[in-house]
Amino acid sequence: MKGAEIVIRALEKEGVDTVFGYPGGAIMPLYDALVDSKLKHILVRHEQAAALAADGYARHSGRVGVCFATSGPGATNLITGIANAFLDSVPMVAITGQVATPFIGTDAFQEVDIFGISMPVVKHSFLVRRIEDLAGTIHEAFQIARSGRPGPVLVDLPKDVAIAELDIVAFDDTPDETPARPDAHQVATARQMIERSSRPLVYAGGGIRIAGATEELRSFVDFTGIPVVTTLQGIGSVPSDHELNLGMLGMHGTKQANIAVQECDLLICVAARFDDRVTGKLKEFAPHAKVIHMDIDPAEVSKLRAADCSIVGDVKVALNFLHVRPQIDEWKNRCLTNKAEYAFAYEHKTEHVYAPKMLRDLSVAACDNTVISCDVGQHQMWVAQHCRFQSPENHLTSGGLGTMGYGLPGAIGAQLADPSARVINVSGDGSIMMNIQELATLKRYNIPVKIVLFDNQALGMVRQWQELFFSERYSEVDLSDNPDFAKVAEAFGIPAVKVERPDQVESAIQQILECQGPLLVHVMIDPRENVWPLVPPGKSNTEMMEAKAV
Amino acid sequence: MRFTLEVTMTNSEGALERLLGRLRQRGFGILALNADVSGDYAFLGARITVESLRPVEAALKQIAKLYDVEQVKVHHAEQEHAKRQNQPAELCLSL
Repeated sequence: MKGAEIVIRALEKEGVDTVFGYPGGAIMPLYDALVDSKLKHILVRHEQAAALAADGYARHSGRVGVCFATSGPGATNLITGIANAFLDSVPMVAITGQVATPFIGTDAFQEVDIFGISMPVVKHSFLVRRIEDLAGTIHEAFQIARSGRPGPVLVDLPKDVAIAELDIVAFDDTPDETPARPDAHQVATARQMIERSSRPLVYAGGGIRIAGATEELRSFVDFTGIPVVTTLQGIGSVPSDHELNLGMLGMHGTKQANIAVQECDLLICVAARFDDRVTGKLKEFAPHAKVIHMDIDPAEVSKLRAADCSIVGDVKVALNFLHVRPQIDEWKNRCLTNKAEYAFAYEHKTEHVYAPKMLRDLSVAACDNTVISCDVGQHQMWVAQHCRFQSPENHLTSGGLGTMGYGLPGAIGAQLADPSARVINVSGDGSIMMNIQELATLKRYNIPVKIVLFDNQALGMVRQWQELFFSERYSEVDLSDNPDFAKVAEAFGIPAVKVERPDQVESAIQQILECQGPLLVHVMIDPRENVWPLVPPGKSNTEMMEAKAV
Repeated sequence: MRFTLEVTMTNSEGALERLLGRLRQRGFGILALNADVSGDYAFLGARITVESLRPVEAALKQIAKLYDVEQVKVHHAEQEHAKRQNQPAELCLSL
């Protein structure tokens, strides 16, 4: 069996059904072996999109995403997607072609040290120099990618290893290690802290989705009656319409969430990491609270905020041991009063389409099995604030790296993972141009992703910050020379509609819900529209800036 | 604070590079390094002196996360002094 065939066979044995990639010189043996395989290969039009689509596939399905690229520029183009997966703990195996081993280190054609380049943004990496190691390495790569705190693993495959032959191949099927059980003493301490608290608050992060602990979290919240705030990645871990869900906290969090954090006396951090976009000024974050930190990664505990109690291990298991009932009626009522008082309002009497309202209406009209894959910028925050999510797997967003261009390939990955889902990419006129070539991928495979493109003719979030924090000195944020996106979509063979007035929104939403194939909805919005509330950088979460009355 | 890490890791491709890169990226400046492979080439032992304003536990946990790492111990400069007086001196994390 040739090395390339071993790789394909090993992928099949791992249960892989879909691979995203782009062929080239050094990886040709793998593409040759692919011809005889049942693996579905999705040809993207830029390697970055291969990694981002694998990311979207993995986030939505919980399985390991797989991408291929050739050596040199193919491999370097993967890097942003790999880093995206690394920052958001997404399980991924990236397989890159490499020049033949005798040529490694000689500056051969399309040779780069991708093993070295990728090192800071992978969980682990392999350069396979012997065909005898191939099958075991692929299995090991998958185990590393999905175990503990997941992440991307790179396997660099020299061409001579890929074309070498091996008579007897032993495929590894060592089972994955089970996650560590929580320490009984720490669990007892946590129970006591919860029981004795009078203003407890759950701060839920992206690890809930990763651990598959959504039901356990909801059960914990329902039993204890403790209000919840979520991070960007934690959205959907408790349903958006759950009574105790106060919404997202942090820089663009809800007022009621940030107030609750500042007032609580116990912060139960479940699989989150005190990111700077969450905490604002760290010293003033949750100033009255003791902290219980639950995470599978010990390196996150007390990294930024000292924990009074840490439970390291699988939160899916640990949450089940914390069912106690603190006496918190007064606190709960205060949180719910704030929630009602500070709820978002959608009256917006201007001639422009109001993106938050359109997103809210779309989200309400769509079924629960709707996935929204965002790009990065103002629209990303509007999705987080205004869309309803019943599960965290349905909200795909680049949180850690903030990768403009994530949304469309992410949506493609999710749609391939779950063909029955309705998948919507919410994008902006800046972000869409980062991977607009993937419209060709939508067309080629007739992938029914709907793109809702909010066009404010600017890099909106940067423009907002220049307005607020740089004395309105606008620098390189004007995109008023954007192409006609509807025509661009049509050039790729994808139907498009344009929405320029509020009275066109309802009909556009209907088209999104009824269209069977891909569709682009180009929505013109007010270039001056900003995201509110906003905690200015370096400030405490109590110092929220809010919208001026219209 | 200055302290010395003793790391035992699998002698896999890039293992030492990964270790040094992780320390640098997490804010630990490397002042001294001594590394050697075991007789059978299976393991790599490294003794690294680093300096940082960040807590020693951060280095310990970040190094322990590396897939190649089998064991990491840390000695504080001050604690090494204490060790000479037969007092407990080291944090240790075996994987």
